Amino acid sequence: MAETFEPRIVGFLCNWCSYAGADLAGTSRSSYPANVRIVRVPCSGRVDPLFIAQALKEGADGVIVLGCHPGDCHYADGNYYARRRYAVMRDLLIFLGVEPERLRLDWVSASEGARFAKVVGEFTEAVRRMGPRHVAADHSIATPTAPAPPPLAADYAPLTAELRKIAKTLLEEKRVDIVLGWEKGTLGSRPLFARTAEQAARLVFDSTALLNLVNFLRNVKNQRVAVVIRPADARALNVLLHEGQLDRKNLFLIGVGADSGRGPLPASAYDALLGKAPETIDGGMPRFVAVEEIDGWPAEKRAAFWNAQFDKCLRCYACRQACPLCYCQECLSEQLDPAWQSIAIDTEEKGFFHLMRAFHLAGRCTGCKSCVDACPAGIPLGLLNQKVAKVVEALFGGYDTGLDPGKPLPFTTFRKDEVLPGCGHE
Amino acid sequence: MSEQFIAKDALSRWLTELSATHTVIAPVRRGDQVVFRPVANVSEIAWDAGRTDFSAKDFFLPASEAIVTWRPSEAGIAVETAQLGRPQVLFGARPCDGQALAVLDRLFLDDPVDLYYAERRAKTTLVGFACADGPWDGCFCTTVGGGPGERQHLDILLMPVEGGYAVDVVSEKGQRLIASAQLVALNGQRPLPLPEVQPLPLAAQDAWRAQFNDAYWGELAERCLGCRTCTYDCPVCYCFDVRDRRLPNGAIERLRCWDSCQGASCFAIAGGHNPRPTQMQRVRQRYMHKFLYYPVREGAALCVGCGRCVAQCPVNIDIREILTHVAEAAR
Repeated sequence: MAETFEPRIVGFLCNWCSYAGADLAGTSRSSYPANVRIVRVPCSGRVDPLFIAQALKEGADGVIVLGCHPGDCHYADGNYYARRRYAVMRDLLIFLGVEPERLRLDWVSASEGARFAKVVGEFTEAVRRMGPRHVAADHSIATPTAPAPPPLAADYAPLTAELRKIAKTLLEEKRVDIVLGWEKGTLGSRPLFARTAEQAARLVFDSTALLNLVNFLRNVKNQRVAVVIRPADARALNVLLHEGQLDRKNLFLIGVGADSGRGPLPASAYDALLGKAPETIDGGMPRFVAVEEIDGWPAEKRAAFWNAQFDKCLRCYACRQACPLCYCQECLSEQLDPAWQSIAIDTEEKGFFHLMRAFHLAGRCTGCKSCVDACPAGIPLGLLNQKVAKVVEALFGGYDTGLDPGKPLPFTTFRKDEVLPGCGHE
Repeated sequence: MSEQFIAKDALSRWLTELSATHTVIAPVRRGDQVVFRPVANVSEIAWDAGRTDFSAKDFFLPASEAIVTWRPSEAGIAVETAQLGRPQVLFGARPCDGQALAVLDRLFLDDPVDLYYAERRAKTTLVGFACADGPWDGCFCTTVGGGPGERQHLDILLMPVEGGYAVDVVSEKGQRLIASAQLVALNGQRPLPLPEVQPLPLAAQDAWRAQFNDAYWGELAERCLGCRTCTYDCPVCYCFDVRDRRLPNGAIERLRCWDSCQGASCFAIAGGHNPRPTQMQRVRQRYMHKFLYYPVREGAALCVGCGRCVAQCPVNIDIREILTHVAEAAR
């Protein structure tokens, strides 16, 4: 007889309700499968969704999070926050090819011993039916693409001339210490920190000026800097200003190009403009074409595709280093205590890193594509960020990232009555 | 000079036969990139792809390898060490790829010998192409003792000629491998011309010492992202980290993985101290190591001029400009 597959399941149980519910199931002699390894947490709100990804990375076949029923949280709101974060992580994991049957969030109170046994029993059965989790990388699956946005300008030469003029004046009048722009390099253009009028004459703006220069502002904090930014860059800057990372009064913003994102900042957001005022050039263009194509694939194909992408990854961190919003002093990926990741340069660790980065950019990424342009391995990282943006927009609505800095980020707020997929509303 | 010729289809047949006994590693296309990978079928080989985007270092010093594994067993604890199974053929290497291994040999095969590297090196035969199809973005091999037709660090050098390759068997290892191939006499075909690769000025060690406090390093660091692309695509950057991890099945692995001097965490030590806390120091370290520290210790530059770091750097930090800068500063 074939051996039955015994899944290994990690359960995160809130101390006040679900853990007590599990206890009651035990003392009431209810029988339930012993596949769940229980981790007791003070509140479901303590469950960083990365715990779920971590458990899967370390070999769990399924992960279940149980908390107090909405409205019953011992700390008033913890489970509402947990629900939001879980909902985004769930969709992201599904996008990466994890089958939804392997994930569950539900609510079990201290008096629901029988319900605990039922929920755990159902979940274990569902995971058992899925079998072990392993999908090989398939490099032959082509990356879905969306129509490319038009170039920022038809003719770059006038922009360069205008930029040099503005920069020269700013430096000569000592209104700024640095003009942060681009110069012609040996292969395409590269960032230039112009400090003198002579250096300003080297500035260029062309189609190879790809990275988000806002990222370099942290190297020159406390100096007065004029910076060349595109609309998506400017929205990222707004996020940084909102998060208290930079001081707007030290900055002189030289806006350029039209926005390929959600909507433009008003011209008044800039201190000077190269060419005409920013406008939305693709208002009618569907934003998530490529993401939707992947959404339509079977889970196994999604897993095979992403495993191939993560297989290509060098773990060089160029994406993180090129991202203006990845500014942690110490990245979780390199943290030693506790160590979230081993140093292994393998598909699991690389996949976890990218998942973590996408998750930490939820509601923050403005689609500047700096990560994509910096990646030496050609991984379509933008798709991960777009997926998260799509989920956040669909579930919580109305996040114009970087346009409306007064608005709370999706994970710092909640609505009590929101109904989120896979979040125990059944 | 070679007097032997192999037709392209005979070469394919030979590789197919070899794959019965050897792991054949060759350039393959993956997405829009060209990388060395073991091939199951010679049809996967990207013959006309030029220089690979990433080096073949992975097959001698793997990006990630469990060098020792401790596994619970009935008898107690079973200890396994990493071993390469079948011998390897690195096909489609370029002269600089061969030179890179010669440079690493100085370190890894010197006392104490790195057993893992030594085994892979001994079991691998290098079959390379002369760069008649080069040069590529960033190439400067002639500056550091190489050349587009340099034979000495490969086991077999194939020089493109009309309809196939002139075969230059360099080493005994190459001789043993090629014995099974169908070679014929060259029939007057001349190898295709090789490109001119202009050498750059290379400053003396004292000049590098004198530039230690050059403000130039700070200028480079200002735009450096602090990513690891240059070190991971480099054929000779060899830094690694060793740490243990526990596997879900209870085994413990001792992992050896690439590390990079460009990452802030690379030099961090116990107590939170970091002797190279700034990106300026880390950028300087990379080039000082390549052109001063390594030559002093091992007698050769830690660079073979393959140009991959130039082609891949997201902010165009160009090692050729650095060489030129230091040489000019010395004048």
